Amino acid sequence: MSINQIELAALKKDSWSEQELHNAKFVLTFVQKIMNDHDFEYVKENYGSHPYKQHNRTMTDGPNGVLSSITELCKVYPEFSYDVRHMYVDGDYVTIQSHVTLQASDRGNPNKGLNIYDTWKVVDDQIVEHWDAVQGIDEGMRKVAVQNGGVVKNENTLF
Amino acid sequence: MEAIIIKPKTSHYLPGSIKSLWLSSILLMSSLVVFASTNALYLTESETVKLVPAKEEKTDTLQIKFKQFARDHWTDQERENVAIVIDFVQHLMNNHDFEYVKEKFGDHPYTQHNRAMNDGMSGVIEFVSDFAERFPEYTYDVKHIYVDGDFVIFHSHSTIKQKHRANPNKGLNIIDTWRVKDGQIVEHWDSIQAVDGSMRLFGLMSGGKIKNANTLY
Repeated sequence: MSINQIELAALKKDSWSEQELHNAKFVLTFVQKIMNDHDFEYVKENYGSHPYKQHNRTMTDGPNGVLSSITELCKVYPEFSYDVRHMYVDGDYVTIQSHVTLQASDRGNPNKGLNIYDTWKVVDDQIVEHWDAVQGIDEGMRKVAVQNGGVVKNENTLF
Repeated sequence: MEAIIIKPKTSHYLPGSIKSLWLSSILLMSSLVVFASTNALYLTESETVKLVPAKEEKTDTLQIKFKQFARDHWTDQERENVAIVIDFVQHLMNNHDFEYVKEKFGDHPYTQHNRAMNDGMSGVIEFVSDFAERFPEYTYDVKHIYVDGDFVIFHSHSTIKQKHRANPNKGLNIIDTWRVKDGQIVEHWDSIQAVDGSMRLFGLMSGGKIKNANTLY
């Protein structure tokens, strides 16, 4: 199974400041390591002490929340992958829109998987905060949302 | 006391007979309101009905305030782009002033990546005006705004009922991106996450509709 590689060159904009480019690279490395490489040891070592205030309600707060959620998901779906389609940077805030799929055979199929926006706030090379909006595309993923979308594991609200 | 103004916004498109039927039904509904609440009711002009509702019936229009979101490092162009998108979202999602949106934003290409809507500005106007007819209290409570050159991103708590506003367990969690070019909004992407159970069911049922060929990205 090939691992999806996020290419900065396809996403970067000339208008970004040095700091914004740095923040973009920082976030893409994190996303590549956790969502595509599933290198949870690396993520734990390099991001495990960050504040990481989590606004995705289904995850517990802090870096260990997202780490354990994605680790569990990848046990069931080892081909879980983030195909980052758009990237926007506004100072400390890095936003990506991605086509997320559970199976390698669904990659590039516009009628499968999840349509996800994520925003991370990055300050001094620390992930401070994360927000997202997760939309199921196919019926199976929309059913998962009906079943699991009400789980609330932190007090930070969606916003 | 503040008054609610109910405007028959779609009446401009309707032939006279339907228009008068609409007005009759409004008058009938209004009479019932008077009967039910004994609040004062009066017509000020042919198409406007004003009534003073009981306090709990009062519908506030949410205002998106530029100042609340502006960041010092935004360029003049970015500030202008954000102001354009705020003007658009305020009139479309909160004021439901579809005539304004049509006049100000309607006459140029608008590539729609929300699959449930027809392509073009007319697609989104049609979709939201139908939705607002069913849910007149439909609103966008914008929580975060980001801008990156031509791209303006809103993260919003959208609700269909007044009583759901600010309730983190109701409504929709929506992130939108609009691309602004030469003062016009030319492209739109979004991700819509239903928060409560009934909105999630709604997403299950209606989420598979595809009305344009632009893909989600």
